[in-house]
Amino acid sequence: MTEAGLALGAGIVLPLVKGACTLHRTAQIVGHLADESAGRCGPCLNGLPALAKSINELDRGWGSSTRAEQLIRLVTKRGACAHPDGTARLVLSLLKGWPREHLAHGLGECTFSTSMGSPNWPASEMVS
Amino acid sequence: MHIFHLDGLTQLARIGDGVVNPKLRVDWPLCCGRGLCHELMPDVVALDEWGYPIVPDSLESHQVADAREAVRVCPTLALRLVDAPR
Repeated sequence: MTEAGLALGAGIVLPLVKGACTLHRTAQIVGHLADESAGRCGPCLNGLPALAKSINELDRGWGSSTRAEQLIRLVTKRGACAHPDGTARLVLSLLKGWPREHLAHGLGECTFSTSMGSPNWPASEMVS
Repeated sequence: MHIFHLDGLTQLARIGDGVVNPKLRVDWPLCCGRGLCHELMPDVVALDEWGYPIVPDSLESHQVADAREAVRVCPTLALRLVDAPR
């Protein structure tokens, strides 16, 4: 697995409902994982909330992925357990798999949303 | 992996004696971000934006003496000199 660039993970598969935005869901999950940090190691205690904030900002259409990439480097392999590593890998796969989604959000658009509005955002909250 | 630690009673071995390819390792739950390692070796140990050390993957031979001193003075004993796999 290591040779293929893979690692053991949490083993959780979360199917997305049709129209759900990958970026938005990842922001929610990273926020949850940041809350779940045991808080024993400084880089995880400080880094995961910062990472969650950076992804949340990408979801809301501001901020740049550079900050997220910087935080990925600052939390990876800098804890006693693999919680920060796994969280960083999730964000890394988001940035690899959907490298342009946050740019769309920056324009007030979303690849996954329909003309009726994304299930993530009530129509009243959608930006134009 | 060899871990040598100097304490007050058994000063038989120097920190890192027997380590072939030394590197610094941080015991993250112990590290409180005091930053003494960075103060001792600003060229080797950087600090992240929260004050926690960023240690290199390996040490040059001329850095080992300072690294040994940093391990010795770390106030929470969070720094170790270990053998890095080549």
